[in-house]
Amino acid sequence: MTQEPSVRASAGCAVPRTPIDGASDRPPPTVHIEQSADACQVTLTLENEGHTLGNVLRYMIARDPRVEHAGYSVPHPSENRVKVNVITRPGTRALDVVQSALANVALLCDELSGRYEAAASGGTSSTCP
Amino acid sequence: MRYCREEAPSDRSVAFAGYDLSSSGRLPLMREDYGSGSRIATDYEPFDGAKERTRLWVRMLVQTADEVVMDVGGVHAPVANALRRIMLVEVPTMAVEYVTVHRNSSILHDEQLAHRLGLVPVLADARAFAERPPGSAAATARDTLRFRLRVEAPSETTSTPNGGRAQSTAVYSDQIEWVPLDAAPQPAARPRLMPGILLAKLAPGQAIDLEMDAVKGYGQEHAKWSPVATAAYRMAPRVQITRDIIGEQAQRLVRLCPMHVFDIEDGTGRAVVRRERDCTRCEECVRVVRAPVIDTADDIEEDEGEGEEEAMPPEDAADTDASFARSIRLGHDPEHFIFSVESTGQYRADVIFLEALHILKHKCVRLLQEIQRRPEEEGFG
Ligand code: SF4
Repeated sequence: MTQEPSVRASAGCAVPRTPIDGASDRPPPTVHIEQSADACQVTLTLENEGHTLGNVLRYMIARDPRVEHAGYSVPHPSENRVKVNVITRPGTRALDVVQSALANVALLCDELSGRYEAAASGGTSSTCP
Repeated sequence: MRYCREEAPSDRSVAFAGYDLSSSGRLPLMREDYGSGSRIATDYEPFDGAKERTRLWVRMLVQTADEVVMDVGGVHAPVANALRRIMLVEVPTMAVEYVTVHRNSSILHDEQLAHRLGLVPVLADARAFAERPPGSAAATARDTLRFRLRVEAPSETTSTPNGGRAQSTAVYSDQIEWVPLDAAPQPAARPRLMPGILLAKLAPGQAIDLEMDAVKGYGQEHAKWSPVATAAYRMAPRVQITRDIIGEQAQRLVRLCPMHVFDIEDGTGRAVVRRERDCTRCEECVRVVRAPVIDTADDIEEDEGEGEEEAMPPEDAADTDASFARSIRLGHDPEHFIFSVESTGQYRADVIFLEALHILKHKCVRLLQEIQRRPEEEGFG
């Protein structure tokens, strides 16, 4: 099973068209926020979300140098709910960190979409090694 | 645990070799070198949009309507995994959900037939539809595609062209017809179900007459709404030869690898890594093989307490016949994923990954908006 670029068979595939908003008719996100008195600690409880968003959010929060701790858990496997917990260094609002992490994931998705569309249409996508 | 296995026939004196599969003997290379791939938060450098941009890359390897295989580089496992999970269960499709049976004298029970119909891919773009509110009886063209299946097998008295008696009649998904709802404008391409799928076989005189509503849904609820047959990734394998392997040993190595990763360089006779991507990390090439032992029941008991020094070749020894464990490094690139996505037919395969990116982005943006909308004083702070 050699996967080399030569096996590409893309004759019939043009650039994928921009998706119609697949998420638009989903119910709005339900989130419960608990903050500590100094705002350095926050726990978000997200309804109708699971490991998919929990882990990627934890990852992006943990990449922020202002963060002391970031973790997530799905308290019960048959409840569709995830908790994300953040503790920041003094002087940083934990909720700010969460917000910038969310914006960063969105940015990453945009960038990757761009790369993907370029690669899918046969253009040069990147600086691939 | 102790195994006994026949060596490759070309291996001269060694007829049988017992080898140790205990953790100490089996995974000497995982801990050093590239590591197991799991990382903790501090392993990632701070997010910097501009830097991130230069790191990302995508390369298509296979791109057809049914299947996409691609390299995605510069992303970390949590992102790759989120995208995989979204492709599996969060990209919407249309699937048959409500079936009204007017007549069914086939051998299949109504519910069996209905379940089967649910699994037939509906070839329509679900992104153009709205979700049908649960429990709503009224179907509209905005949220439902209605189909009808009406077949009746010729009765027994009908003679077949070749003069014999009527046999069973196969019912295929091709026979399902779209029924327009409302006075909605006719779409350019008539919606249909994936053709060529056998649904039932009717004995002479049996009939099926039913109507079905396909609605928008998500794989989370039932796999019939999943747009992919597989959506998987693996980390790109890395194989390095850290010490020259030449001559007979090189040839032995080439034979050893079941995926033919290694090759011999012309001229020098040195083993080189030729097909790195094909490595499955089976560890055949680095497995520590003990000196030949005759495995008897006694022997196993006596050997029980043997430590890992036995399993590992001496620290400074050159490779023995037994193992290349000190000459080869195995690992994988934690920022290079090989994705493989196969569509079930509703979407072109190359759209599904893009859709997953789009959905992940929207999840984040909507959550961000929701948090920003909250008044400052919320919480117990
Ligand atoms: S682990 Fe070694 S033997 Fe197994 S496929 Fe990879 S290179 Fe070949």
